[in-house]
Amino acid sequence: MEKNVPPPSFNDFPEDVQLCILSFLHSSELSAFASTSKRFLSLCRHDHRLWYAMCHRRWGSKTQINKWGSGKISYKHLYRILNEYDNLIGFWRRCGDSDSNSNSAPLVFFEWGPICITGSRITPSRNSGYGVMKKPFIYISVTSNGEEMNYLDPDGKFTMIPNLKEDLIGELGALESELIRVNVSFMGKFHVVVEENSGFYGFTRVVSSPGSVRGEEYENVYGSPPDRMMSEIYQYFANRTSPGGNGASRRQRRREKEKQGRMKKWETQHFVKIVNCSPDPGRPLQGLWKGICDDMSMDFYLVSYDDIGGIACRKVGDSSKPLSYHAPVFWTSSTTFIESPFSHEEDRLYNCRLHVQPHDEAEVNRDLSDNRTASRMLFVNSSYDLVIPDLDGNALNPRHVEGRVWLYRNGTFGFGFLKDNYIIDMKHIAKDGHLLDAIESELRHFVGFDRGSFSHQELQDQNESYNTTPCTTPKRSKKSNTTTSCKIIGKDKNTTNKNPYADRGLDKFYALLADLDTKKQQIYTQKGAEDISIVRFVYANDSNAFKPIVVRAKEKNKKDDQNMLYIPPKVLVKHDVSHEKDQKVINHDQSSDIVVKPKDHNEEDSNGKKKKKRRYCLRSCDGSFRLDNLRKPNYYFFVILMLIMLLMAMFGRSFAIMCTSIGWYLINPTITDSSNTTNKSRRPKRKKEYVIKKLSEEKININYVHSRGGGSSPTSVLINNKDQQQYGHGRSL
Amino acid sequence: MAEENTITLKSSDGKEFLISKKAATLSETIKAMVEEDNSSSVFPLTVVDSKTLADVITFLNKHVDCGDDDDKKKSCDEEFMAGKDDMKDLFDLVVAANYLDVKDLLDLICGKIADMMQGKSPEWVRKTFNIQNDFSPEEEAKVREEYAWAHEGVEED
Repeated sequence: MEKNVPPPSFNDFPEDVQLCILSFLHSSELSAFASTSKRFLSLCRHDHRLWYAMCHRRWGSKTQINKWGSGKISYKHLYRILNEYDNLIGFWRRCGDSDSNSNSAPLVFFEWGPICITGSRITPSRNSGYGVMKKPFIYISVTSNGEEMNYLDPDGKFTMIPNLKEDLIGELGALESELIRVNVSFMGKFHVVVEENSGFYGFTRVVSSPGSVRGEEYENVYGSPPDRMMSEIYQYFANRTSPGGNGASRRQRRREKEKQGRMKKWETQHFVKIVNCSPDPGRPLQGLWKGICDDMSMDFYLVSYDDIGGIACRKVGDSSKPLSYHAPVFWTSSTTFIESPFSHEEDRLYNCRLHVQPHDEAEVNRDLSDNRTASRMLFVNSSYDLVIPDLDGNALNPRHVEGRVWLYRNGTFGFGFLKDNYIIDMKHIAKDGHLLDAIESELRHFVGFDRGSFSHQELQDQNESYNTTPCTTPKRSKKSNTTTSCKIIGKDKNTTNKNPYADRGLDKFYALLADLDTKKQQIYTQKGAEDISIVRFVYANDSNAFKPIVVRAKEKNKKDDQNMLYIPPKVLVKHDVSHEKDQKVINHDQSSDIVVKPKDHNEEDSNGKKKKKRRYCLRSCDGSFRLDNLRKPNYYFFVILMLIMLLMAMFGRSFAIMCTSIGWYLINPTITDSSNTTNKSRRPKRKKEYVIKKLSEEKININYVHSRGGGSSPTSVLINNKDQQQYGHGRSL
Repeated sequence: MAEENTITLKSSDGKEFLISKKAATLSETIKAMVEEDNSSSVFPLTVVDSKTLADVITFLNKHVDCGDDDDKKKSCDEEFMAGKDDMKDLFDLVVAANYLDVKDLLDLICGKIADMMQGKSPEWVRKTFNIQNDFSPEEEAKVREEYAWAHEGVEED
């Protein structure tokens, strides 16, 4: 400072002014300032005044500084953390293959929440509008003891954004079973790694990197290694170091297992920051845009300027489509715009085109009519010629690849190609750090219906309407955007009396009902309506297919019981047959007339097919009977167990043992008796089944023997012997 | 009392400035003065010299014109700050803004001063702000170490 008068000293300022000036400084400048003199060093250590002022200056408008870490951590520490996290804010692109998780969109948007930074997956909304689905999946915050705490919500279960709640950590912690603790570590400024918080490092005492979450007390317990092999190593060590295998370690292992099961849901992902995601005066096309293609689906585009003065535009939005599919996206090597008064030809080219737009944007159109006057124009090429060099075998017809970019007065632009007759208009995705047209927190997949329960409907009630309005107009969604970037979704539930989801999924439901009804009718006609009192459907355990359960009235069951009575003689017959069969196995030569006998029996069986069918029904129904029978000894067992316990408690161990052993001898015969009696009713039936099977096999075997002619051939004997050996297994041929 | 809506501010070197009441009351200090003493229309500001006061009044008037439009305010501020590079002037302004309690102006000037400190060495800061170094070299090194984290990811220039 070249001046005659000595410059005023910083010391002369009132402290308020000093703090005010310092609050504008970034940490690096503050460090320079702190090392100027002792007085200022002490000033710089003034946490509540200076560091609060600094935090507040930088992030006060974006987040609630005093609520981070429950207000218990030093602002200096907070500043450090936030200073690091500040880099997160903005758009990131997931790198690596997209096949790992189809629902993880490549685009991620980090923004400030009240007491956390929220990372949301950004996807184009599926209904043709400019709406952008925002699905928060990662919450980054600080614990009250100053540790970084990041939770990942892989499935979007944690749909409620804890707005204005001081106890964010507690809340997230309570949901730990659903959420995954992750490390968010920077690798340089523009590359971030989100990996599951790994306790393995803690275990082997490897010092974790500064970006990662430092050792929580239970981290070792909860921790899980990053992959299977590592987990095995870990297990090995864990087993070695804890030979006792006590409850704690078992619990620990169980937790590990749980964690491992959960871990599969989240594989380490890398994100790269999209640095230039908004246009600037020199690069008006630069940044992330959204546009509606000719197939009426919205997509995200990234326009980037390269170092040699070219512009390239590519899609980033939809990872579900294979990479080979690309609607023409443009590129150009020259960025010189042609200013407004265009040639007549160009005017015509622009004016005769249709703007691709969502269906119900008629009213928005009016506003846009003046915005859409093109102020500047740029010649571009379609990327078709890059992707598919020689489409249709034409040798690069310039009309096929040539296109235009029209820059509108409002700063947005649209592009189109000569071969088409439409313009794809681009819109901003975000403005001032807020997502535009955001539709908060994507609805979860409507699983409730598939499982036959509607509990999830409630959750969906809380979410914002997007499916009932097939086309979200920007106007409408803007409303949601302008309120806050982060809001309690439940709010909507309170404010709107009419539930927009009241009739969601109803059509599906009716379809299923109709389906079930026809199935029911089929069952009625098959089994006879008079036999059946109720037909119910349940879902099979692991599939969406449903099984019918036929419930019959008791009287009918009695009839069936008569059928049961009818069984024993049959069984007797079969016993005979089996005897014969045994004989037959021994002497093959007599088989000719034996073969007839089983056949006869089979015919008889087929005659009685009707009865058999009834029996089948009965069998499916009498599961309960049988269960009851089985339960009896179990019941005894519990009673005895209780008794033993009681004895033990009252009279001590030795007495209890004595009583138990005496009791065992007394009770044992009765149990075996009862089990015998209960089995009696079952056993014959089983045998009968077996016999039928056996018979048919025998028949085949014998026929086989006959066709070969040599009854005494070693193979046939072998087969029979084998069959004999596989008594009860059946189906040897 | 010809005009109810204007007041006169008197600088430390005796110059008088006419300013609308609305603009003047953007300063909390003047606002308090006016409320306290409704009868008089001339308010002496003993701390602020005429040059600085003129700047402050320009600022106040601009902000009144801008109203609540933040974008407009921003461009006004930029316009206001253009050419104000002299440290002495800035210091005077910041003291005046603090005295008059004009938050917007204070923030603006502080920001400007902080901007000037950006990427500067402690020596520069000492020289510019007339700060005596009372550290021994060892102590200074220690302090630098303490703030080493602050330099992470910040490119030196």
